[in-house]
Amino acid sequence: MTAEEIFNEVLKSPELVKIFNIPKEEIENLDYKNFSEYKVIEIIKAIIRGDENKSDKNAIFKVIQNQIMQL
Amino acid sequence: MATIIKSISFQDFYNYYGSFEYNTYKFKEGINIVNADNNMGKSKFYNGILWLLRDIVYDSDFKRMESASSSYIKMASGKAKCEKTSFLMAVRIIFQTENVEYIVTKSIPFQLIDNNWKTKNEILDVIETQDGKTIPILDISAKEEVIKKIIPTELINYALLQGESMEKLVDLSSRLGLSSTIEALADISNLITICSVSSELTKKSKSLLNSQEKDFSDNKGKVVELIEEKVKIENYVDQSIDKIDEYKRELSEAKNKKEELEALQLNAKKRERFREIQERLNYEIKNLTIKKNDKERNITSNLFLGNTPWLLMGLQEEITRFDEHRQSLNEEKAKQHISKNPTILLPEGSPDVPSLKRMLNKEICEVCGREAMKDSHAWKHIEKIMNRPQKEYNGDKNNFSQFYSNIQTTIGSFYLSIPGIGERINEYRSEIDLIQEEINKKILEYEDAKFEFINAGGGSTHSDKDILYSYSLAEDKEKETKKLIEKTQNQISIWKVRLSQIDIELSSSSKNDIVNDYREFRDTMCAVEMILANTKDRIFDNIIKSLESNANQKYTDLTLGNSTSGGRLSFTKQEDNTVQVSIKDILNGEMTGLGTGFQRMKQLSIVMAIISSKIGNNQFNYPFISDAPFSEFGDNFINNFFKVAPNVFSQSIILIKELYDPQETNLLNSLGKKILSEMIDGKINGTFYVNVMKEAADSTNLVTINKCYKY
Repeated sequence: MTAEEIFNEVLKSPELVKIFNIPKEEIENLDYKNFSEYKVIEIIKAIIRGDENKSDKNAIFKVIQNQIMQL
Repeated sequence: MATIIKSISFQDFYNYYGSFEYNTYKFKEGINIVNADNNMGKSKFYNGILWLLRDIVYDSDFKRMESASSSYIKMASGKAKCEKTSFLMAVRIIFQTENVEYIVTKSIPFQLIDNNWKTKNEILDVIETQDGKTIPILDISAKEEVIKKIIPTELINYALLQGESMEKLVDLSSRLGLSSTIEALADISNLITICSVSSELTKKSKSLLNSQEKDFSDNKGKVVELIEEKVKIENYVDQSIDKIDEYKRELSEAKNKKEELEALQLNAKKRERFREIQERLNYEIKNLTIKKNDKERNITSNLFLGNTPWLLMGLQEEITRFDEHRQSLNEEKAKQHISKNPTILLPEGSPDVPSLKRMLNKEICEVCGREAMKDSHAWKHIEKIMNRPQKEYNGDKNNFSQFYSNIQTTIGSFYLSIPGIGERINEYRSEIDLIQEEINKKILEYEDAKFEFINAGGGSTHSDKDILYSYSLAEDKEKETKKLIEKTQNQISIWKVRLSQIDIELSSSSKNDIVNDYREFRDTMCAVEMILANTKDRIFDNIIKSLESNANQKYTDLTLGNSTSGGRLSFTKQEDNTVQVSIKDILNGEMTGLGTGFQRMKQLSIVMAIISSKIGNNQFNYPFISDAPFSEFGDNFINNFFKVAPNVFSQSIILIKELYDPQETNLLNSLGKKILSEMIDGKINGTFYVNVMKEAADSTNLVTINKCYKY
């Protein structure tokens, strides 16, 4: 599966609505390439992208921690 | 874009004697058939591909795969070894993928030194042609990459099939069997990696939170204590989850075993009935065979039978001739005798039947020379003498001299019995034929009973007592593992409650915003881990559903028109996430022991379904090459395969003998003619070759040539 196909499959998860309160309509408009305001979506993208680019786990973690969560 | 093999050529390779020019098969998209009788090069052809792609060959003597390097001498043409002192054994595949053409040639030089064949190092030549430019590839790893373009390593087990190995095509017995196949072919391996990475990142976020909580706590001693307890419990939970996975695996195994044994138990009565029928039929066949053998042995005795020796069949005219000779001899003798002694003394048994018959026809008594008009007293007297009882022949059957002497003296009795010999032989032959027919009928009944017996689970090495014992063990194991899973899950729930309590205690101990951010980070990472894992499971479940439906469609298509129901393929995800495929009947009961043809069709249907279920790509992009895939299939299965295969494989190369008929001038049976005609009419796309032997030779000197019927 391509990274984009995986991302589109993840967007079908009911947990995004239930846990993160992301409205269904917004989920439908989400895109793998464009930035999302939702941190969880960006974290998911970072992990998928990390696999796509064969990045080191620590590097992926740093991206999530520093850039997405801004910690 | 699909990989298409454009040609396969051989040079001094097994039966393929001579250069590439004489041993080339040109192929195209669709179905490519190489039809050949036994020993006409099918498996040798397949071995050429195996050598080039996998560096192995199938040794039919030992019925196992061997490394090519240990089989070079066997692989070389027998005729080349007889006639030459040096030659190059080689296989060449020309294929095209993504508008690039590759010529891959593997060869090995042979040289005769001191009456021993020596080989040099194997040579691999790869040439690439793109946009009219031809470039030789020199780097060994680049050459190997090109070979992988023909069929990638991970798909080779599905794309390169030998009839005998087809039952093991998708390993349904191993733990990961089909699930790993689904993962590979549905291409979700990267999602699996993503899940694993996510899990590790969650652990990292947990650990990071722990250190932040320690750093920003108001009550360090208490916080450290709580964190240590938390880490400890989290380790327990992780270990318990691993344990549950192990229990689930055991549970899944126990369930499968139980289901398998259940089917065997259910059929125990049926097995018993068919076991008895087999025994009875076996006894009857044995007795009939003895009876037939006795009858056949008696043919020799009948050749020399007393009154009617079969040996004399068709010799009636000879008796007349013999009688004429004898008559003239007797007349001559009589004349001589009368001239010396007018009193006639006839020998015992005289006059003989032919003489008497002649006298009746001529209406004259040859003994006294008087007239004997028809129906007169004299005529009736002659007739009475002719019909007098004949003396029985009591000679020794093995004494030919006596036998032939007696033929002369008892010729009269043979004269009457010879015309009936033919009829008697026919009757005797009919009796033997009838016994043979009866034997054939019983053999068919026996085969049917055996089939039913095997269908009912017979033929296994286990007795019904063993089955019961194993069933009870599997049942106990199932109960035991279920309890263990429940117990461990309860324990995990308790631990999780405690973990939540610790979390609350820790959050109240350190209300720092930074710590709260790390807590949010950890919570989000936990949720992401769960979302990704659920996504993977959902995709997997959907694939299983689609695979089941697709495989059943293929299975129905492949078994269409068959008189026996092949059942329905059922794909079930087990507790341990493995996938079990079974064949269910209309009542959803397990069907066991279906014939080899059905089992192979089941495997083929699963592979076809897997291949055509590939996300975003409904065509198998690599050639499907199979040696003797139909050796256990009937015409119906074969016919169905040719209808279904083009929808699944872009190109298939099928080495087959089931379309061969040596009695026909074009060497094709009716099914072969039908398929060829459909190819010529354009209903089936592909090529059609028939292998023939150049001339009769022993196995070391065979030369196969091919006839192209359709390209």
